[in-house]
Amino acid sequence: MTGKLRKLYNNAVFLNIPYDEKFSRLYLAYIVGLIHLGLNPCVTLHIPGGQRRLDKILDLIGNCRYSIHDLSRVQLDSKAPRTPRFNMPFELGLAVGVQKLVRRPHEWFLFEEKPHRVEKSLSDLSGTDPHIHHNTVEGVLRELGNAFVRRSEDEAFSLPRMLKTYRSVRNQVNKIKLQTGAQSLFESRTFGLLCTAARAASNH
Amino acid sequence: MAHSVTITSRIPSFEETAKFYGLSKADTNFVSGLFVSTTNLKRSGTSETRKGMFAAKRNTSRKTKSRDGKAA
Repeated sequence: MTGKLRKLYNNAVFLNIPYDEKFSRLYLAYIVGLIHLGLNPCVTLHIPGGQRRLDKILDLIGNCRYSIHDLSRVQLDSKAPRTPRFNMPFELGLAVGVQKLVRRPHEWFLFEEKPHRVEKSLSDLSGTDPHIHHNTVEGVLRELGNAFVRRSEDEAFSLPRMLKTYRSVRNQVNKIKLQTGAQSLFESRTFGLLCTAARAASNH
Repeated sequence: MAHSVTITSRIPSFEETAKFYGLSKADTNFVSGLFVSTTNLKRSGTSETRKGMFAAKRNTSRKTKSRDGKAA
């Protein structure tokens, strides 16, 4: 990785979230909130096929300075055979491994919908308080602001400004989907466009 | 209390963000157009309306004066 790219990845946040339509509002909130705070979200959607996916995920986590792990989808999914999603807790484990074993500078953050649930679903993390977003856009933006604190005297990083940016991007989502021909927001090119649109909309 | 960090790095520019996400030139132009056009429309709409209102007032007052002048 070149020095310039390394510098860009110092602002990078590996976003470990469920890719499902019911989560698309919060997915957009994560993207907009992180971009608004001057960070660059990275997701596994951007990982090209061909190489072993796990190696690419490990590379991506290792190159990102931060990671966010949303463990709010712990229930069984509706498709048969009904299973819980293991990807999120698994990738959280990889991030902890990168931090503790590989000893790369990496900080991970735990996000959840409900308070105290993670104490039951993943008790190994006892002592780690998650950021609780209550499954709302406002909750995600508020908790991103609590996790990544910007010392700024102006109102640029306030919750109302973040919400304003969110609404601006949300109003352009259909145009962006038309541009990419995407059926959902969970596609690689669409993700890049959403991030760049959020940068344009945040207008610091 | 949940974990937090203080971010001090500068905010990346629009161009840097587009480059980071590997956007093509066409996609970059598309995204910048989404918000530039909206902003410009709002701005020009406001200023044009104001200009229009003032212009109308000026015209009216000129016409009135002229009529008044002629009438006088």
